[in-house]
Amino acid sequence: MNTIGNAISPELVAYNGITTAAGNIGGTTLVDTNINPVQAGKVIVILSGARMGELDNVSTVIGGTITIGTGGTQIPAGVRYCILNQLGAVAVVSSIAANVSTILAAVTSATYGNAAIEAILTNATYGLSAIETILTNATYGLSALDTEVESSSIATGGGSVATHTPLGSLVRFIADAINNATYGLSAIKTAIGNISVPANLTALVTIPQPAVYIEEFGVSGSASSITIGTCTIAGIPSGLIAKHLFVHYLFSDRVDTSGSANNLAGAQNLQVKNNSGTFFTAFAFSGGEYPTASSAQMGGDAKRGTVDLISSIVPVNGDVLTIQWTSARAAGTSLEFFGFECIVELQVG
Amino acid sequence: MNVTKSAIGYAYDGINLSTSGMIASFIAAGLYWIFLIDLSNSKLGFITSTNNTTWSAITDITGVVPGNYGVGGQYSVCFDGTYGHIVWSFFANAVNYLRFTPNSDGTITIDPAGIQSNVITGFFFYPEIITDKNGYVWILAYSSGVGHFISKNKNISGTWTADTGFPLQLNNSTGGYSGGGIAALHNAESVVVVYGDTNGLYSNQWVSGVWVGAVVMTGVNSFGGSPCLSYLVADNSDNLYFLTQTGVGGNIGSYLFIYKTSWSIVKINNIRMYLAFSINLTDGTIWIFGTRQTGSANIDYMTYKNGVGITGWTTLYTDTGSSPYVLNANLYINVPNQFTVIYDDSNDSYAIKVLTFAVQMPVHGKTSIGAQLKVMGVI
Repeated sequence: MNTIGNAISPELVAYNGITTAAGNIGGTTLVDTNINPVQAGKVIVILSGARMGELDNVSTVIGGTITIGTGGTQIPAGVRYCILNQLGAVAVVSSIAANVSTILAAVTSATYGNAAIEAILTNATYGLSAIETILTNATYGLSALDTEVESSSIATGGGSVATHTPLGSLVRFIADAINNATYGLSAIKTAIGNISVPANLTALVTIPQPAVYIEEFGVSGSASSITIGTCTIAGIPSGLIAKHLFVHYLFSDRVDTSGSANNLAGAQNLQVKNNSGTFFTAFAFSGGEYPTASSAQMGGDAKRGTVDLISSIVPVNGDVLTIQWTSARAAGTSLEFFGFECIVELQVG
Repeated sequence: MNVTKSAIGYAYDGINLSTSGMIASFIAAGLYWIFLIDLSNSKLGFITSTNNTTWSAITDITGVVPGNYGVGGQYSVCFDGTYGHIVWSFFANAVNYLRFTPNSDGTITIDPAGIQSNVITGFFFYPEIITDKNGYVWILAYSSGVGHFISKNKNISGTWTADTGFPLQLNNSTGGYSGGGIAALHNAESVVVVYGDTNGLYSNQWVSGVWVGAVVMTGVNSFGGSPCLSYLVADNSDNLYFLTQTGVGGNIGSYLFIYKTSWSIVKINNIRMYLAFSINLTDGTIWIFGTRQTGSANIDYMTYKNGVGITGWTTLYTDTGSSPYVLNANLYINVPNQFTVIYDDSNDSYAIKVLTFAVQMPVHGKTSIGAQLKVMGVI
């Protein structure tokens, strides 16, 4: 059986005792011939008998008589008590006792005690049984909601709280928003598709262009312009524009026909123009290029253009690029070039 | 101008061949193969024939884009008995490589390794390709104003890994001249490269991992010019044949340099021509096809000569004077540096593929000449 003594932690107890004879009539003493006088000044808790649960200060311990501060019913022999270790324990024990009292009051409260809770849970209107009835309702219970959410009709939206479950109506509202012609996903998709991606963010593609070819030409000792040929731009896909424009050249061989050592003489350029526009330089020769022994046939060459002409020429389909060798001049009377071609490398994006 | 099917061949519009000096054809898997550039998309493609007379439609090789050229594409092919090999550059750019299997149904199977890009990085043109006796692939290419470079694949596979010491720039090749050739010997693990500048011709030989330094081909340097658009072939006895176009003044012409125990020189003609070359690898019988280009009507023509002795020329076609340089109603050679020759030793026929700038066509002829020739490059 639980007693108050069981509720007191053993660490708080300095001495457990049982009265060996009755105390005085006024109830202010306990008699225990086994007690040690050093327990004076501590706290005593009466653990059995009519005064069980009382706490008091031990005033004196003289010859087995324990004097406490408060009187009451005479304490007979055989009453259990204990002496606590320190005075602070009084507050702890008092707090416990107070809390126990509070709990007991709460549990037995007419408003929120166990009986009140039971009344709520068993209420016919809002108790557990009533909730069960709602959740299992064939029209708006969980099963009905599950059916509604799973149904294909929900995807098209529509409906109202009056005709559908509240959650189902919410889902339908969201579906309506998703499918809305003005601001739904389809409308968003269309809007995204209508966004124009800046050309400089697209991948560059090289569009092959017809080669510009001249079978043979001679560079004489007097400066002159030699037309290599024309290239009509084609094949640029709709929506793309020219981003880079380079011109490369190649020739198969060269022959000096002047009878003396020969080479290009002086500044001269390989140039390009678009339609009737201005010529722009793709290659600049400073003179001395292609040294050729007297009357000799010698090898050709191939050069990649490094000048991006796009800052000057932005060709579109149908434009005609004209390539010419401007101020062409050889050191000798004639330096012949054979199989000369220019390639227009057009990158679009 | 379009060309229609003629009595002597079939026309292909919108194609281009590699520049003279670079091989565009071989025989493999029982078929004749000519590789070309499809000008509609700048991809490298091929046509095949079972009889050297009728040819297939063009099949493009996915992803191989050597570019669009009027004079000649920058690619070469070879066949090693099992695999075909292609090397190309996009207009004087990095060199790329692809191995494939030619199939008897006229298709090719691309090697799983796929295209090997930038096997030689830089700015190159005139790439040439061979396989040596042990199956390793070699590439010779030229960089404008820099010189000839050579590289070797460390692997016998479609995956390119440059062997130790490669790519290598050849000595004496800094003059900015384009002629060169590479050949593999049949009886030794050896490769020979011939190239030149105004100081002469040089040969380099790689023997089992060791380079024999540039050797001036003394005694054959009287031509004065620098070699252009050149071929180098080794026959089955490892005699070497270097065909080039060069010369000075009245000596400008076509020259054939032959090495048996030492180099000798044969002057083929006294004019400026574009050449194609075939040889019987067994007996050394030579076929040389040339087109004469003058820039003037009435005097352009296509011709050939054959035989060990390189005797007189036989004219195939002569310019009839129509503009521009129409040889006959179906043949144009106003860009005569683009043609390739396949000779079939089983039916004694040859096919010549001729291109012009705007119009390209292959022509087929049958000769009574019984020389047993193989297409150049076939071992």
